[in-house]
Amino acid sequence: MRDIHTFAAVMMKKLIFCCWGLLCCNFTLKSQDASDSLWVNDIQELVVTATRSQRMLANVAVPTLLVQKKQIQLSGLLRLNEILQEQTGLMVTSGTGSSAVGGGVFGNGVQIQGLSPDYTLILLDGEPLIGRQGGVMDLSRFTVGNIQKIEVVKGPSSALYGSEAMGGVVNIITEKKRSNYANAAFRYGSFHARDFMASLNLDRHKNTMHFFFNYNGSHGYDLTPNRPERTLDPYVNAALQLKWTHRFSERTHLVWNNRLYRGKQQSAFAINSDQLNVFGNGITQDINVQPTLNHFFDDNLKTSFRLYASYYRFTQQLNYQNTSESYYADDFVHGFYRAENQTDWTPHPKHHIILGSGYNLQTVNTTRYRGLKQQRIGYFFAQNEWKVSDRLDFIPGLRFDLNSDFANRLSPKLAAQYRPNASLQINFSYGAGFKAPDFRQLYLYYVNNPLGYQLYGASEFSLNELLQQQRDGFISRILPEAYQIGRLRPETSHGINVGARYQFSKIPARTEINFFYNAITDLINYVPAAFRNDGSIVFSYLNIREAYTRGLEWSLSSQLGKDWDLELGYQYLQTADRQVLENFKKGEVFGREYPGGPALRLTRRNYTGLLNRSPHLLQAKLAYLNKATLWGGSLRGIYRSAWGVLDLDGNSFANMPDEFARGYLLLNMSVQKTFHQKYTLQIVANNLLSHKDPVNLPQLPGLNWLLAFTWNLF
Amino acid sequence: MCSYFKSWAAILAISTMFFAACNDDDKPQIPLDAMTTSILVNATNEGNFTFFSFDKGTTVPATDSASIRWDFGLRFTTFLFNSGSSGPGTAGVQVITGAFSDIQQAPESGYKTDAPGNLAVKDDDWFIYNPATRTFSPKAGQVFLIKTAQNKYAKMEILQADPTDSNGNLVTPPNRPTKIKYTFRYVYQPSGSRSFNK
Repeated sequence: MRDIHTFAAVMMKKLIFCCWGLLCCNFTLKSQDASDSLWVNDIQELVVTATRSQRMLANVAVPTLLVQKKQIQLSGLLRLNEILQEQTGLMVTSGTGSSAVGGGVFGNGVQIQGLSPDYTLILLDGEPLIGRQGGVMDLSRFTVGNIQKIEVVKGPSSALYGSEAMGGVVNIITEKKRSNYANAAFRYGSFHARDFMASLNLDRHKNTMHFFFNYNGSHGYDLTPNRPERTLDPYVNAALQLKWTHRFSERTHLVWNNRLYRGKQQSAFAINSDQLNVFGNGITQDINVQPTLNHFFDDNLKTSFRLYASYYRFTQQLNYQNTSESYYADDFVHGFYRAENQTDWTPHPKHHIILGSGYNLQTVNTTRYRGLKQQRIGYFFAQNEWKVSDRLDFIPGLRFDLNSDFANRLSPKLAAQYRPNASLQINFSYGAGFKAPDFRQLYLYYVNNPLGYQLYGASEFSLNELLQQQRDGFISRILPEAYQIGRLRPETSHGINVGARYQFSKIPARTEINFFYNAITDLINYVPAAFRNDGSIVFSYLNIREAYTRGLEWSLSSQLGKDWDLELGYQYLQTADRQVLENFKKGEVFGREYPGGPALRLTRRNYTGLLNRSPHLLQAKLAYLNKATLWGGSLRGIYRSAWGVLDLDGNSFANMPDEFARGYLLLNMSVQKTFHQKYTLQIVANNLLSHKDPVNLPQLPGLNWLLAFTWNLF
Repeated sequence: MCSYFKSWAAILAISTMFFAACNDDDKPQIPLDAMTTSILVNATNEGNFTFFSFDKGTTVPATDSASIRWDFGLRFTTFLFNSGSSGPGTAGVQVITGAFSDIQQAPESGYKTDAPGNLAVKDDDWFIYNPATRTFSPKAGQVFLIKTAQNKYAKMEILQADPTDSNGNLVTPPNRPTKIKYTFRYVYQPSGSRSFNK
């Protein structure tokens, strides 16, 4: 009897250890078994984002990408946008963050399966990051210094994650090790780029403490010497993370994760002048507090309570130098608060069920809205991973979002995996996605007199007010659209992914192919609602557009000999706005051959799809790491074909050469050597071909280098 | 229509049909020459309109605004036509979707005139404004069919609208323009006929 108890206790400990790893991104377990390879991710590698519970990469039925710390380190890249743009099928959009007046250029977001950055959910240790400017989360805000791994799930994932997870989910998972270590890294490079980071991890009995600090700054650069403004003005930022894990018992753990960020971006503009005359700063502050309590009832039942509070503030003040008069001021404060419970239950060896529910409160206060705005969402989700047989899994799931400001939303999903043999997996998944109308679309209250327009969020728009103004003689015409403006519906998508993964048996290589199709409906767009007598236009928001994105993605990763690794990735993408396709059928699409040229009737063949999408995206990476000499290095190439950037002839797509950005090849490399297992010296050279495009790729300076020194103290 | 046959007889038959088809109209259709011109217009809704005469092919002074010597006036993005509430003329306009060169004849009716608070040409007829990029562009394929102040006919297409300073030099954001340089092409039929052919 006693033996049984001991056995049970040991099993319980093992299980808890496993589950513990599960929750906090296991790697202590796996790091020893994992392949030495840099880019051939072991199919036994565990991922958490695809099903909200720890699963082997091979058993995940939705397209999932995993980027590991060793890959990040070897590349020598520092910011999240730089790492993501090297991954198969991910396209990082352009911008230099808050440098632009009023955030006119909204920073580097990530496009997945052809859906804009607005439709990608970015998670930090499982909780959503906030602070989007114009819908885009600027990923250059995040250092990769203490990232353990990045998981990217492609395709609509709202059945698990709710709003914004229409194109996919990027989950940034920070370090979590039960060991004692300390390290520091110093970097210096082009444009006085400097970066310092330090980590300290202490593990004592029931507690693990993790400290991380990062300081990052640059003097910026100028790609347009003939203009007074610089492309990127100087900036500095610092991030601090503090993660405390307390184990009350073998069964109950608390993880308290805190992150602080503060960034300062200088700005200088020449306004109606040949010389810089307007100066100022943009300050970004970001705070995340994230306590999680996990409890294991037994080996079949576990629950976790999570609280999350996040605060984001962006303030910008630009003044004329001579008069100290204000040229532009902006203040944007966003709060996000969440309480959530998730319970994992295995009632039967063939069924793994997760049930969750939560409540979100969001608040926004900005100079562009009338007062403080709030949005509340309550939600419930459920998923069953049903192991039908050794070869077949079914994973149905469902989520229901009830909210205060727009129509409720039900998001189903169904994924299936079939394994005809040990090396082949065939995956199918259907998922629904949605994006709740954002604060801007609901509450914007923007009267821009010099440019002659007014833009109102749908909740601020009042038809009665327009009718009254028409009676009073201020409005000349109310358009039919004005009568449709009212309660916005969420933007929705339905996505299908069909693909296969194959693990070669004789050589250490793996290949994957996936076809995707996303049908997007109820896209929210601004529409003119009325014309005022003074010539200005009144705009508001309406669910009007429909579009699709479709394409295929292929990747191959292979070890070449003992020390070399190769990874290739390719995405082909087609997109279309359905209204434009209709107009083609009616023969009502016109365009010009050059700006100011005569209008010509265009045919379907001239259509290039939605703006900012490249049809071809190719990534090739070669890495070297010798375990004996401790020499290492990598060479990575990213090719992106030409993409439409603007519409100059009113047909909403790019057709003349002036409307496209040139395709380009980006080559990045790194070389490193580790001494005495303790010190690593690394030289990084990015953009070897020195591709520059100040208008469309302001975030890309020419050839730039970086020297890094890393010291592992213990 | 041009089917393809091997026998001589068929070729003969086709040739006959071809000639028949080509000679629907007896006289050949030679389009009138299109003119392309640029005018500078105030970039705000204040100040004078810029007035244009198709007959002269140039702008006319604002002091002539009460006469029938102009056909349309333009300020920022607002078009006036010389009729109704805007002037003493009999001008009218309709904006249609089509290819400029395909339109060989002005319609007989359907011309709108200016009324107080209800101008004949609406902003969304001919340009799109993009609040995100703060640019506006004339839509390709929107053709203005115009009855002039003196009952002649013209067709016009706006090719370009560039933000400029008061001398017509391009300005780029964040600088604000004081003028907009509009470039348009038009065909004017001085004979009073609705046809845009010679």
